[in-house]
Amino acid sequence: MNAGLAFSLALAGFQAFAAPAMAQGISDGYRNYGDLQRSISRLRGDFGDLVGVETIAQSPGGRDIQAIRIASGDGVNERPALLVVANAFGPHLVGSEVAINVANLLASGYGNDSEVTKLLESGVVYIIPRANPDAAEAFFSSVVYEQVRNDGSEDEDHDWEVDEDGPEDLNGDGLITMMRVMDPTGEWIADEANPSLMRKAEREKGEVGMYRLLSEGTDNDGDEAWNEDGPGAVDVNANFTYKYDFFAAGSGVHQMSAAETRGIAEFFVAHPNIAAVYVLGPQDNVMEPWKHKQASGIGGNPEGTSAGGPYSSILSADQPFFERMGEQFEELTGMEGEPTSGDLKGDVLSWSYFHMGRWAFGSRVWWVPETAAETDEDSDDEATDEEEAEASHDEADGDDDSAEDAEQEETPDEHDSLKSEYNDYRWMASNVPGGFVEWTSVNHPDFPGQEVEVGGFSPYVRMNPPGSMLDSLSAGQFEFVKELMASLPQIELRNVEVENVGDRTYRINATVTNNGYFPTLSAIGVRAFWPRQIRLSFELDGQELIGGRTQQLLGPIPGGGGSREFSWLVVGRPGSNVSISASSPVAGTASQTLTLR
Amino acid sequence: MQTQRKVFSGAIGFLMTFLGGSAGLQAQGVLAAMGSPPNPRVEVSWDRYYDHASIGDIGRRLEQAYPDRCRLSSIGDSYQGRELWMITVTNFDHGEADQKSGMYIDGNIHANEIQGTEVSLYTAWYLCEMADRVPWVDSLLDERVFYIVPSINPDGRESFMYEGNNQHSPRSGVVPRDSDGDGTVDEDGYDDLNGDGHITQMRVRNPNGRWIVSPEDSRIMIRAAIDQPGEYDMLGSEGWDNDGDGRVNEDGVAFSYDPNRNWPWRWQPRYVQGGADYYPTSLPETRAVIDFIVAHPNIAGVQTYHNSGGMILRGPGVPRDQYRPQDVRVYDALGAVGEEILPGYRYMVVWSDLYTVWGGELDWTYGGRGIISYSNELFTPFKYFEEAPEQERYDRVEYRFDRLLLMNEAVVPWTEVQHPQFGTVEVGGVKKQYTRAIPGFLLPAEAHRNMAFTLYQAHQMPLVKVDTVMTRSLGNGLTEVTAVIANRRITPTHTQQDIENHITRPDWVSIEGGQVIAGFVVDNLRMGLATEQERNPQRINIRNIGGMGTATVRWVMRGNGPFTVTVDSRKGGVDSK
Repeated sequence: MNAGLAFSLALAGFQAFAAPAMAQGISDGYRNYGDLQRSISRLRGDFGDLVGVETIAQSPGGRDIQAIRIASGDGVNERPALLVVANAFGPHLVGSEVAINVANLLASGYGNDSEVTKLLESGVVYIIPRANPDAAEAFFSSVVYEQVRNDGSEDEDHDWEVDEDGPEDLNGDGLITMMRVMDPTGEWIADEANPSLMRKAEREKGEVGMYRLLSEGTDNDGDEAWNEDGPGAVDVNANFTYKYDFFAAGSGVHQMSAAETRGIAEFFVAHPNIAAVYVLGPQDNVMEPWKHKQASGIGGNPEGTSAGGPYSSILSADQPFFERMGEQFEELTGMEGEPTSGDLKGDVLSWSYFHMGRWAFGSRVWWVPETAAETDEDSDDEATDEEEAEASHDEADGDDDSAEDAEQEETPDEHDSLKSEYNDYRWMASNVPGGFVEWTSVNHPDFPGQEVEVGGFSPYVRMNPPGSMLDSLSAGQFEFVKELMASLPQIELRNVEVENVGDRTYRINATVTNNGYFPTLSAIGVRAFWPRQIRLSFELDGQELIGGRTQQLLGPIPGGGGSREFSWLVVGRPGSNVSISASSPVAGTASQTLTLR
Repeated sequence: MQTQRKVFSGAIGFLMTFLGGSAGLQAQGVLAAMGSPPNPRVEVSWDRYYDHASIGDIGRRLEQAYPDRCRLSSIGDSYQGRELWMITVTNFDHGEADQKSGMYIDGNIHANEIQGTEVSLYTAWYLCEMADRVPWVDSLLDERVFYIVPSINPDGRESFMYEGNNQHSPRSGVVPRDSDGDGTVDEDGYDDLNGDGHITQMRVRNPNGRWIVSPEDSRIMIRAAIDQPGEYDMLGSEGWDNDGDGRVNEDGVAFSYDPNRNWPWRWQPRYVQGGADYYPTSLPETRAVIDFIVAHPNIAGVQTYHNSGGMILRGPGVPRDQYRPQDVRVYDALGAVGEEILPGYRYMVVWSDLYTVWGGELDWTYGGRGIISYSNELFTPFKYFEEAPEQERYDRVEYRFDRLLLMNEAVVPWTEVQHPQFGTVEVGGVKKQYTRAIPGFLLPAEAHRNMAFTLYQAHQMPLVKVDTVMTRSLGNGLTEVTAVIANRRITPTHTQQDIENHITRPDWVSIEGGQVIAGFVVDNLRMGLATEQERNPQRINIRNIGGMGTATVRWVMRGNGPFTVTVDSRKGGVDSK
């Protein structure tokens, strides 16, 4: 039988029994595709012209990817815009929830909250709440597994068969977790400090492997690999161009191959007013702001050499803005801890900055909070132990280490490689019932006569908080979104004046000022070309232009009142008019008409 | 009278043979020149350039004349809705077309590089007309399929042919783009001041200028020597400042983007790769070609024709892609023959011999799909006088050729026109279909030689055959069946790029005629070393069959046959014994 079919039948079988069950312990408050559609419709219905919705792509599974536009007044698509993109990485449901909640908070704040009102009258926000709706739907399926790929078939394991070996729920708990197989050839052992957690045996330190650790399921295609090619095609968050991982599982048959990916790219093409992008997903640069690094050798960084090549880091001139927004993020959201960013590999965030040239920020939104271990010893002793441990590590002496191990035989050391697992295990124990599935035996057809247990962290729970936390997370994110909107460049004409220099000759002066926080263009934006420069136009009405230019393009103007002065000299009739206008899709428009006198 | 008529009909016969013959003229009236059909069913003159409608018309006529070996289809629409015509040529009565080793050919990705279209069309025409005449062509069409897209930029082609342009414009297609970043699109392109369809140069007399007229040819402008007074200012290409920004011709369709930087292999943005559009595959023409090639894993060879310079180019386009030696051997072997077929052409590597290209078409077809891919830069100044031209200060080889062989047709002489901003200026210079496009009388030869190289590549694509099948009784009603599978050509069934990245499935060798007990890949026939394939032993997976190489498989079968062994190679075809 076709393995993909077997898998879908298995799912269908479970569907009959399971209630709308879902990701263990956290799913209340998360919206499946249908719920999300209803939320979007309600948003549009409740707020009239303030909210617009555009379908930008359709997934292979037939689901719409929408962009929600929120702004008040006319000509909103010509204002500097913030684009929020969420859930391009399928399992990152929390981003999707926050995005739609922020949309609601913005829309309902208009007219009630003066700050929001002002932001929506001078700017515009576009929100793509669920960029990979096919993958996200796996969160709500009756057998829950972390799906990163959209619907469709692709050959993830490159064996020229598609979707022939997906997961199976062996213990019937509605979750795809892990399985450990007692096997002396295995590389894994149960950790001493917490035997529920698995780590690789350190053979060089004399440890001996006891288990094979595999994804929960059977080897449907008999290739001695488990669940190596389940349903699904493309990870939307791996299909963009910056550091695209060629031939990697889920990265797609080629760069920008997915309908969702192209829909987002075409949205950028159609909206040159996108000045900044905020991506909710595994990639972070707000807790750990991106830093400029000088690349050595040829290529890699134009600040290093003139030879061109893919950029390996941000440009130095942009770094302070990442630092500042990172500080703002921590302050406004109160988030703590240092999540390491997901890899930059074909993701939306790095593409938005490096290839589309936009200010781009990314947040993981949530991670398992740091949870102290419960211990019998009092805290002073613990601190002393830690100091001692530090000291002996500093000496880097093997004998000392083994002596230390011997001393602490009673309570085994926590192993460095499992730090986050210990923490998450503790947190699940008191916050997410079933967040860790304890190992239980199953009979496995592939391993007759061998002990096989199923268990491990429940899918999704380490990336997505319990639904009850979504409101407070959204409130913090809302503050940061407002901060981003308020930071967009906004140009103004100042000191506009006519100077009569005699003989029907007039000098006109004007200053173009940027009242926003960001420069009108980032350093990468100047190079990437797509974010537009300011076009400064001088319109005559029958006068003769003696000095100055009718059209010119202005490079970046710093924020915080950064200015450039211009002047024109004209000969013309007193009482006649001239007009000045400065405009850029990413920095706004300002114009003024003057009478010569 | 009698004599006169003879002379007359002889002249016609000569002319018709040269131009491709006439259906009305019987074969006995002419003597076939070698390499050309004396009496083609489809008359096409190969000394001129064809527009979009004519391309479709030639394809349709070929299809009607040769329904068993030629089919016309479209692989998609261009931005402006023109068909991307594909002419498929193979012997449709012999095997499944899409199971044969496929040669993909296109031309004209750059709108101004027009003759790739005629070389492609000539190839389709030649194959149709010469089958049944030349046995080599017959076996080629039995074993291979040709997917020929004469123009993958038909919008740009129409623009080149019917709008004011020079020999370099447009390079783009016509998708509207804001080239100068001022927020308006295509607002200041060339202006054909004298209305002749050619964008030439503008000059104006100025005693303080730094240009003078060449003493050898008054149509040529050269810089005055460092110590010599000048006579003219050169004002650039024909045009004026349409949008009042103080710049001339800065935003037309000509160079908005480069369609050959739009491919999803090591694509890079504009600050790394000039001409890059928003993202790879942003153009509908690119996507149509990609979708076709992905859907046709039987394609084992690619040729994408450009102009000019006389080059047989292969990748990599960027230094970080180091082609594997196994593949370089194949490229080098074919390239060396190419240099012989194409005097004046050089076999070159894009990044090291030309320039770096991120996101090029042949980079994707090899890098992304593992296909041996070349790009010929058609025509070279070598062709003017059949020698490498020398640099001269006062005269240029294309002007001398124009004087001596084209009777001064190819250059617009300086003529006065009124310029809306500069007053009276003179315009003049090379016509758009000269210097890069090929003069008419040289075009058939250029088409034939480049086709010959591409047919040679197609001939050398993998061709798998079940070479020998040996049986040996093992007793107990069991038979050992050993089959040697051969690849008769230079190109392996999988390039190293393909193998390393698991692009194309293995070659399948299967057996019928009994129950399969076990199946093996034989590693060393003489030593009797073999590796068992436990999964699905009836169909043995062969990872690759190298150029001019073999692979050996073995089964233990219940029964004593007869057995049928079939090899099914994606890129090497299907064969049974």
